[in-house]
Parts: sequence; C-alpha cells; structure tokens
Amino acid sequence: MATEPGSQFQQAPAQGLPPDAVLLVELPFTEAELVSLRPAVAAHADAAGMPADRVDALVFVAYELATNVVRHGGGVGGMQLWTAADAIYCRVSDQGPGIPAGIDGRAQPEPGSPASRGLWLVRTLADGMHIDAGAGDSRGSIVTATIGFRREGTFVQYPDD
Amino acid sequence: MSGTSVEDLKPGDHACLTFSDNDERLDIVAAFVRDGLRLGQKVLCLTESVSQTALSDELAARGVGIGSAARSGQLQVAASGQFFTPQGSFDPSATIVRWQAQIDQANRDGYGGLRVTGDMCWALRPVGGVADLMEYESRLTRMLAGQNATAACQFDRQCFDTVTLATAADNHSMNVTAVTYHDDALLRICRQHVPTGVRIAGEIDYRAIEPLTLALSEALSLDDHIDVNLTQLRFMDTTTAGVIVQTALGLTGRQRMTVRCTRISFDVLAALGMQEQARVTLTTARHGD
Repeated sequence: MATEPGSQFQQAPAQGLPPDAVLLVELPFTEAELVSLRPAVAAHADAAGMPADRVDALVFVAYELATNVVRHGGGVGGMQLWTAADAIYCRVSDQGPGIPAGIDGRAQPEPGSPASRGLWLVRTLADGMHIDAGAGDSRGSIVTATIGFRREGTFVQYPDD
Repeated sequence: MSGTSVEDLKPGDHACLTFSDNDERLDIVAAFVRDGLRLGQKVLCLTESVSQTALSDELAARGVGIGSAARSGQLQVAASGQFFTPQGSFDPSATIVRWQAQIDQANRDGYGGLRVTGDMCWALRPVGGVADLMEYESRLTRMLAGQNATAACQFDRQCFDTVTLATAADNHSMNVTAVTYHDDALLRICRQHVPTGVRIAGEIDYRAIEPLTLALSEALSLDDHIDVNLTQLRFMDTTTAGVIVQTALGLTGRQRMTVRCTRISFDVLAALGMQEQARVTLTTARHGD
C-alpha cells in the first residue's frame, strides 16, 4: 500500500516536479478507496505543514482527480503526493483510455452542465494543473495539480465571515 | 421507532425529542417555539447545554420573532435546573405539581395553552432522584393527555446511552426527530424547519446523490425561500455541488435560495457560477458557527 517511511528520500522526483521535491505518500486506489483517500490526503498535507484552508482545497482536488480515474480512466489509479517549497503536488495516474483532446478544464462550463466540470474545478482551485499522456504505451494519463501553502491569485473577500 | 415532525405536535402530546448535534436541536426547538407563539400559547424553554442568552440569540438568528413575546412574558427562557431540580435533587411528584401550576397559570393568563421544551442533560449528572426520571416521564405522559399543554423533552443522542434513549422513547407519547433523507456515520441530510430548507452535515459525495436530490426537490416544491445549510459540511464533491447548482436553476417566480457554507464549498459553488444566479445568495460561515 503506502510507501514505507524513510524511503521518501530515495526516490527521484517524477518528471515535471521540482528537483528537490520529496515524496510524501503513494496511494493506489480503486472506487473502494475513494472515500479513505480524503482523510489520508488531509493527514499527510497537515503533517507537511499545509494550512487548513489549503488542505481543504488539496483534498477536493485529489478526490476529484481520483474520481475521474475511477469513472473515466479505467477504474484503477495511483496517487502520489510530493512536497517542495511551500507547495504540495498531487499526481494522479491511470492506464485508462486517456483524457480526450480538448478536455483540459480551461473553459468554464455552463451552469448546470456536467461536461468537464471536474477538471474546471481542479484548475480553478489549484495553483497549477498539468495533463500528460501516460508513460510507456499510448494509453493512460497523468494529471499533476499544485496547491501552494498560500493561496495565489486574487484575494477573495468572503461574505459574512 | 420512527419520528414525528415537530410541526405536527398537538396539545396533550408529550414528545421525546432526540437530535444528533446542537444545530439540529436548535432547529427543532426554534420550530417548536415559533409554532407555539403563532398559536398564542405560553412557551417555556428550559435550557442547560446552551446558555439562556445564547438560546435567545439563536432563536432570533433563525428568524423566530421573539422580541415582543419575551417582553410580554409569552416566551420564557429559563435554566433546566430551576424547573427540575430547584432544591438540588429531582422530585417527580413535586415536578408534576409544578407542571399543573404552569398549565393553570397559562390558562388564567389567557394564553391558548402551554408549550414547554426542556434540555434533559441535567439527568446525566448524579442528581438525587434521577433514577425515577422514567417513571416521571410516564406519569407526565398520562397527566398531559387531555390537557391544553404540549411538552418536548430534549435527549441528546450523543450523550444518553441507547438503553436510556429507548426507555425514554417508551415513556413519552411520541418521538420527535428531524425529517431525515440520509443518515450514516459520515453524512446526515435533514429537512430544516427554521429557516425552511435543507441541512447537510458531514461529508457528501456522488453516492448520496439520490437522497440529496430528493431533499432539494422537496424543498423546491415546498418553500419560497430555501435555506441550504452547509455550515457543518466538511466535504462536497463536484457531483453534489452540481446538484445544488441544478436546484438553483429550478427556482421559479418569487423563489429564493440562500446557501450558507464553508470557504471551500463557497469556492466550489462560486466556480460553478452559483453567485451569478439571480435568485441565489451564497455566503460563508466558519466551522462551528
């Protein structure tokens, strides 16, 4: 299941991650593990020093990417959480048919339309999102979302706080 | 045992009111008080876990107009201990006598009856006489039947053991609980009485789409103003956020929806365009507010 403690320093960062990135945990999943991913991701992010509001965003993003794999990406996936320089990188891979061209979460879906809603939300809540084709053969996909310890971009004024 | 809705209580009823958390308790108590005030009844709230000031504030915050009723004496908020254990121990016979005195006084004062709700958590302490509590509840059931008075005794499901709760249920004339669409260790979806709407607490994802859709569509058919209370919701996934947005799109005419939620749910719903919908107000509340 999860990576042994101590082995984290031995693994070189995956492609596209900062060279000093450290692997926090590796979590294989199917539909049965979706719910337990949430507290697991929250616990590792909290232990890495991530503020609570950013942990909430990371849990949402991680769960959404894993759900995509279960529903559209062949049902079996792997999640890695990496950390470097006040950010956590959530990398979710699968061996499914791949994410169709044109679906990248860049366009806001019409209210009420379910199409590409998930990736749009991941892109909106994360500080960065990158989609790669799976390694090896042409099948599968790898999505990496970055959540900073501090929220980037425009300051949000919440009503009634 | 299945529950009755608080809105269906009638004179003569002696209800065992159980709840899962304080927000749910306050919602049911608010409905109990609101209905009593509307019916011109004298309303007595006996409280302990929630301070008397906090209870008055909560009733007002939920939209129950208590100002004039509190000033006139129609609504009284008092400590549970004052009523049940005025001398430090519990005396069932003396308590029954106090009940009859309250009923008679309400009638003399020209009220349309008496309504009393009491927080029973005082009975969790080693109070003298508490062993006779269930015998007292049974006597009160017989005593209230046929009188112009309604009682709702609040038993916290998180504090009382299951045997006590079952015995309490047997010794009242009915059980009052929230109208529940889904209830398990992670998620609770209930009808909210005051303000009217739906309350979703815990963690929700696509597996609960059926009870969520049912709860929201019933609210859509019943309420002019739907209050979607997500203040105790720790997690919401894309699918369920989509159902809430879809419900908002179904608002018609003068219908309005207010969604109160945590910051993360706010961000998710805002990203799906919820704030731009004309009939919707989206606000945040911190955990535990």
